Amino acid sequence: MNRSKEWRAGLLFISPFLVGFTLFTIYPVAASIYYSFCDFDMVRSARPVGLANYANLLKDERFLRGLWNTAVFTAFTVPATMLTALALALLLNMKLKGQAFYRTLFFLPSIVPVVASSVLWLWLLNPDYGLLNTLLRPVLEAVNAAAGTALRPPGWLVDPDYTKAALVLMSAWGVGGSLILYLAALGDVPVQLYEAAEIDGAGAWHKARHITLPMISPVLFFTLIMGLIGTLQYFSQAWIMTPNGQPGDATLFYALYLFANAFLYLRMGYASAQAWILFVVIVAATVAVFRTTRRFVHYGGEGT
Amino acid sequence: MARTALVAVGAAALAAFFILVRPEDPSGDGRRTVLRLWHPWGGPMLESFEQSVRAFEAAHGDIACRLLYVPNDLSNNQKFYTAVVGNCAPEAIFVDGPQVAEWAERGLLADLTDLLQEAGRDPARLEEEFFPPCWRQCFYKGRIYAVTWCADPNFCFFWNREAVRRAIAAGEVPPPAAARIDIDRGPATIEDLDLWNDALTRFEGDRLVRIGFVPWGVYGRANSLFTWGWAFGGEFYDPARRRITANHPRVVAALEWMCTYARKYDVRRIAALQSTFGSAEQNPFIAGKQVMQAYHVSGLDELRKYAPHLDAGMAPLPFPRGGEADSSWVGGWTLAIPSTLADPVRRRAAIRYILWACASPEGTRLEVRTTNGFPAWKPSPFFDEANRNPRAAAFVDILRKCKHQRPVMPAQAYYMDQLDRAVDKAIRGELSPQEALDRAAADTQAFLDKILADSEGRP
Amino acid sequence: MTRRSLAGSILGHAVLAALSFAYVLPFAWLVTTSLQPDVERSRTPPAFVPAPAAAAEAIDRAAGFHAAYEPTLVHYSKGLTRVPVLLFVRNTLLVATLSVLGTILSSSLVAYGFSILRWRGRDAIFFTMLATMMLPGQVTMIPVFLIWRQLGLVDTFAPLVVPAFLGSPFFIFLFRQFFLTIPRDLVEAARMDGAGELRIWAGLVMPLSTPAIATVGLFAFLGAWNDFLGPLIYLADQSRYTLSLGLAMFRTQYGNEYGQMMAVATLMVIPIIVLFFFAQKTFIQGIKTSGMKV
Repeated sequence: MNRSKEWRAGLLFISPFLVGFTLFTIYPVAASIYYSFCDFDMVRSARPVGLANYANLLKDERFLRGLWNTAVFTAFTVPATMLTALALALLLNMKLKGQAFYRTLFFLPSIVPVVASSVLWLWLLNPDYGLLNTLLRPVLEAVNAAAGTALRPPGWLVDPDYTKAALVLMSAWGVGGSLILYLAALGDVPVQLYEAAEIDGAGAWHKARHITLPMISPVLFFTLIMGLIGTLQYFSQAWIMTPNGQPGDATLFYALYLFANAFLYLRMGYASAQAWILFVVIVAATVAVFRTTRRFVHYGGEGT
Repeated sequence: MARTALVAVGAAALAAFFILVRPEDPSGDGRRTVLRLWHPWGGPMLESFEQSVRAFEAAHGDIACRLLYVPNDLSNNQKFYTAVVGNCAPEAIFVDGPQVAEWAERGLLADLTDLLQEAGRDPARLEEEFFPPCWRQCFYKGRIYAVTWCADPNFCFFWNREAVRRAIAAGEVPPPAAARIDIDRGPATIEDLDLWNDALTRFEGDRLVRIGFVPWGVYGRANSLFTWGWAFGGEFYDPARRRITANHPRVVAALEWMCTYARKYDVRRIAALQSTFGSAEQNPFIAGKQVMQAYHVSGLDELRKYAPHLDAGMAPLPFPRGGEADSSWVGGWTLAIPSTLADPVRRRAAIRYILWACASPEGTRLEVRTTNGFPAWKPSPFFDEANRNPRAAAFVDILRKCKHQRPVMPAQAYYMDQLDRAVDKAIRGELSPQEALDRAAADTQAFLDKILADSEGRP
Repeated sequence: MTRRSLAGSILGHAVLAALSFAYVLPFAWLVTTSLQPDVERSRTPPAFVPAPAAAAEAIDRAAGFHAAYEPTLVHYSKGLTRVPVLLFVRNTLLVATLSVLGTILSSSLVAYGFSILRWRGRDAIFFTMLATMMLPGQVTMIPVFLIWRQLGLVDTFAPLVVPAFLGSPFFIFLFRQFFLTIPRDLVEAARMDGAGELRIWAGLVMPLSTPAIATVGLFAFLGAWNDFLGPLIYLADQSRYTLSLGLAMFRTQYGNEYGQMMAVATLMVIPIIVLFFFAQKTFIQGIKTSGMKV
């Protein structure tokens, strides 16, 4: 097919997106850039203040804390959730009886309304009588007895040193979505490849490394990028469980402070500046991931 | 084949469902003025609130009310702001008391002063009919922007009499202390409170199994600081000079007192004891793990519902020497009209609803049925009824004596967050109370000055 | 079955069973709360085994703590009558079904343009599309609302449904990843046979992507089913409210009706569980790419 025909076909196919982009994206994005250079409370007209918002943000303790918290949290959560989902997917892909039943079970957390699961986790993570610590306590006591240490079950959500860990746990548990994706991708791997490998005497590890992973790499890539974009904007769970980022600012995530600035303090200009800084951070991170993982992603159709 | 048939049947069933179950058309009775009202009264209050609005409609045949429930959290703010900016706001809306000044400053709320006059209620007279702090919350820069619908007097002090009795009987309280504990009177001063706390807090090995009292656990850290700050005789805002006084010496003293509890028993342990399911029915006082608690008037209802057998004593808040006796403050909710409402007919309808709901015998009586809280309107017949129940009467008493409400100024939300963080840092030992409150005051002052300067620069 | 695979199978079952306990907990707790009388909920820790009165006492004695309670259906009856649940289900179902249809249609078409077709500027526009997901939505919320206001479509379902027909970056990206695994030879062969791009999309690419379609459908449905903020901002009439807003009606500042809320939440979750359980095959067993021709 000649060049200009593919070009026209391309634009035609992506036209729904282009329509949406023109109608609903260009103006709001331009508006928010403008607001980031203004004092704006959403109701009265915006007053330009140049770079003041950006300058003040760089001096703002809560902004810096939010940036740090979010970066650390993302660095732990994205790998943790991907690994958990992948491990579960591999488990659930095995030929065992009752897989349909198990898969439904593992998918359940993703469909329980957030408000319900948050309250449940508050109970699970209660330092005194929560289920998690109740199970941990005897284990730690055994370890203490054997090794002479003085370990105690962590305070989870009430201890600034452990709140992020608690939230990482919660995220790892809510991986139903990625789980489904990986299962779908695993199902797409041609059986013949495995059969051919077995004939050649390949073991499980070899099969996983040279067949499974490359074949599902496009979907892995997807969850990596989406995980990165999403976790850097992490908000809902933290808002419900630890509003205001207490205790001790440990869970003051970037998006929480942004939200407070926009809708609580009515500093939409300031919040817009925050949003655009986050945008730059996410773009940079995404580009970095794209570049570094390019050679690991194998599109069977010789795509891209 | 079978699958296609299944899909077809499914689609047909779905279509039928969509047609048969349909939202009703909004009442098309042309003679009636439509009053759209946004409210946060969900859960157990939904039914009684709807009933109260029906009663209003029955008494005012020319107004039809359409209610819209909007959950009370920040998502409520988002909905309201977009509606005002997009000029599709309702006719009336419930506004949280401390938010009135903030929203008025930004031009979100309509000035009600003249409307009230037109509706036959002289604002000056109306002012005398409301409890002073409730009125003050609605009054900003000389104009009235809202009318208080419910007044929640904060707080009364409760203690678990049975737990105290058992502790003394079991010998857990050293005799000299036990002699000074008056189970029926409760702790009257801060010194008494400290004494009770020391006597009743109990460890089992390393674990904290019962605590006397948690000073910063009174409905959040910021609210706790307000409570004790005022009880100690402090002030949080000087309206005349528009100065934030979070670091008022008496407020600092209150925070220092709070920190003594944090130091005595590791903050983390207390937080562990306190962290529950995050809801009313599972709080440490009801569970018997905390012996004393300060409660909002809704606490009476909670105790009745979730701990009917708990033998609780009740009294006004303890206070230190030189502090304020029977200290309390009000929060509460108000009714307001969005600033974008221009149509005079609907404005009049809205103000009639507001006056009926907040300042009429029937309206205030029904308000109590909805919230179990109190009206802010002194002539309400409810108060005679209330005085027959000794517990409710105790709350009415502190409402009458109440002198405080949260600062009426447009940086209120920011201020509360700053105070919350200050308390958190102080009890954690990261900052001294003086430092923490100095910072909170300075930050909030800068924020407030900016808003006020910004407003002056506008027409 | 060989000895090795039997051992593997037992191990597999063991691990799954252990983990599934942790994963089923939230749902179990949801159901338990919906069946518990109010007074029970004030205990810490709460009892979690529903049993008739006599059995409950026996269980308590055996366990040594208060572990069993007598279930009640009052939360269901009250919860279902307090808010117009059937109406909310209808509204939510309407929005969700249209969203799913729109999403599958538009996102797959756009993804086709970003994957199967090769043209100049494609990757730049693709990345721009991704970038639209990188700006936090809070700051564009009001301008977007104003656009809908100008269109006169506030307080309708349009703002909730129309965007699905204009492609959603998340799903476009997902479809693209799946499409890129389709062997180019198949596409080229179809082209050489004279098939137009649309026909290739409909007859070759889509049939080969049933797991992707099923996954997108499920996610899109879930997203619309649980969407809270969209309906909150754009709906101004309670009779148009969706289930997620209806669920919020059980909350209030001074106390929650947890029992009723969990009852309604349980009812919200069950259809999805059923849907998922029966639709699993479509996700998992795709058509193996063994060279099927159009």
